[in-house]
Amino acid sequence: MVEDDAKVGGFLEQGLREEEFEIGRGHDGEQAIAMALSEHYDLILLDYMLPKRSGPQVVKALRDQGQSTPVLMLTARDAPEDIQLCLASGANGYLTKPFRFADLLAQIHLLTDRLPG
Amino acid sequence: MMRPFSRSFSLQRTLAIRFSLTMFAGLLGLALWGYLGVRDTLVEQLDRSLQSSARFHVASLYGQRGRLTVPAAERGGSIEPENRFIALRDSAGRILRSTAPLAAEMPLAIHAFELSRGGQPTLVTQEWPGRRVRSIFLRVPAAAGSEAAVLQVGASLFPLEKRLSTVLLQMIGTVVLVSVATAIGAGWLAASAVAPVHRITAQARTISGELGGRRITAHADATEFSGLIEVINAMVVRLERASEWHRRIIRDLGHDLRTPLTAMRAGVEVALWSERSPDEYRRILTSALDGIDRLTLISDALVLLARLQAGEVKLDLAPTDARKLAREAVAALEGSAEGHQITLIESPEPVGIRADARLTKMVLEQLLDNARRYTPPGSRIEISVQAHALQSLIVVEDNGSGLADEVLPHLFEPFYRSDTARAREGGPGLGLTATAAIIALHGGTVAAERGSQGGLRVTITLPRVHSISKNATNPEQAGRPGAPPMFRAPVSC
Repeated sequence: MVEDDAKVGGFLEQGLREEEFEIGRGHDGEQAIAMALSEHYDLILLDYMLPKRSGPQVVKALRDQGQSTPVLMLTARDAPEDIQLCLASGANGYLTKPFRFADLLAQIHLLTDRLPG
Repeated sequence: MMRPFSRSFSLQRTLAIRFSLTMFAGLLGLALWGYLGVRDTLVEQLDRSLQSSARFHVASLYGQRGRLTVPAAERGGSIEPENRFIALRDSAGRILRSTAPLAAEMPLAIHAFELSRGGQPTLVTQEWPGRRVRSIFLRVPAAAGSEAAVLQVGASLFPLEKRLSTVLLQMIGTVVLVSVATAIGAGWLAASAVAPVHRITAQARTISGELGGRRITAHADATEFSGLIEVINAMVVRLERASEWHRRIIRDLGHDLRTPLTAMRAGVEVALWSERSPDEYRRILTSALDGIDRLTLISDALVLLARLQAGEVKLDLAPTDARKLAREAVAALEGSAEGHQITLIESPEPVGIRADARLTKMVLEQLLDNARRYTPPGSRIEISVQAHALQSLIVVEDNGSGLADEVLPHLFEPFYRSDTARAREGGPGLGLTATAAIIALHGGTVAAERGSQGGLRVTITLPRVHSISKNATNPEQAGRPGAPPMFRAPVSC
């Protein structure tokens, strides 16, 4: 999970760990690319507006390098052009902030083909 | 106060009517002048004709020894020979001989008769029921055996008036016809003159307000419209920029509001997900409180910024020593310095500015707080207050990692936060925007650049004031030490 807001990232990490996910945390776009290329993840949760490189730029860089890990973009921007940019970059889905934790879990399960529980 | 439009009117119709009326009046005047000219000419010709005729006949009298005859030319060859009569009168005015019975019917123009007897040929117009006659009276030189004293040659004015009536009718007809033609032409001219306005209006209607959208190009090369079109296009550009600015503000504001809301929601949901210890609940509630503070900060900043931009903030200006404000700002930040070394470098002489002490101190606190937030603990922050001949300078500089050169021009834009700023928790990105607006209200400028130690240097330049009261330099009396941090305080402007 790459999220530059410490509080958002902290609470999401805590909630997901309690749901028995293993999580690696990053805080900016370049960190996101380094992590995704160096380790295997089932899913990347990626904030849209990140320092150094934005979420869509990160996804595009990963896809350009053949990295196909599913990406769920978390975005506070919900303008149609932002959503379009999100998906066009290669992201597999998006959630608009603020979202329900249950919706986040549902999206994660959907993208990882993992059934809840 | 603006006057409401009383009634819409058509410029095209107004132009056409005014032009037609002007032309009609001109033509009418011309026709009247022509008519009077023709009338005078005809009368003059008649008079000359009467004069020459009278002289001719007087000369003939000598040749025929007082016997009065009418020459052949007067009878047949002329225009209207029957219209001419000749009468020979004696010294009492009685008719001795005449060529027409009319001469006997008409009354004697005594005054003209007497004048002619005195040797002055006299022309006169006589009127009596149904007739108007123009006559000339000419003295006949005395001759032996002749009683003739005055020769009268007269002519009816009826043919002349008939001709004048015809001329008048022709002129009125011409005026009417030309006026109708003028009205049609004026309508066409006015339509041609107004047509560009319709085309410009039609193009203006298609302007969408999107940045870089359409512009008015119709008739932009016409001298009469180029200035107007230039002004309209420039206004469109300004409106588009303002519109784009507002769109961006709303988009960025949405982002800045949603981020703390997401943190609060995630915290509360995670807290409710399962049983927690009291300490954990406390941590989550504290975090939610921080989120509420952040949202409050944003709304306060927005209100202040909106009021600044709307010109609703009234400054409480007074001559103040900038050193005193800097001291107070440093004192306000001391409690939250996180190991930063804040140094105040003062000019030995008073640094006078004409300022709203409370708002200016808030600006300095904001700059110091930014330097504290965006540099690692233990960094050095300097605030120096300098007096130049005409300007007072307040410089806030840190020795942090600074900002990229491409970031600096955007630093005072609303919601702008560099990556460095984004990487750490900061304000809503409105502080520097409000800072620039407040300093601009004071007639000053604020600029950001890379400092001598590689960090960020922000320089405020204000007009210098040389006379400052003692109170203005006394930190205990002027201003309000310990005022709440920027945007948390209600702004009573």
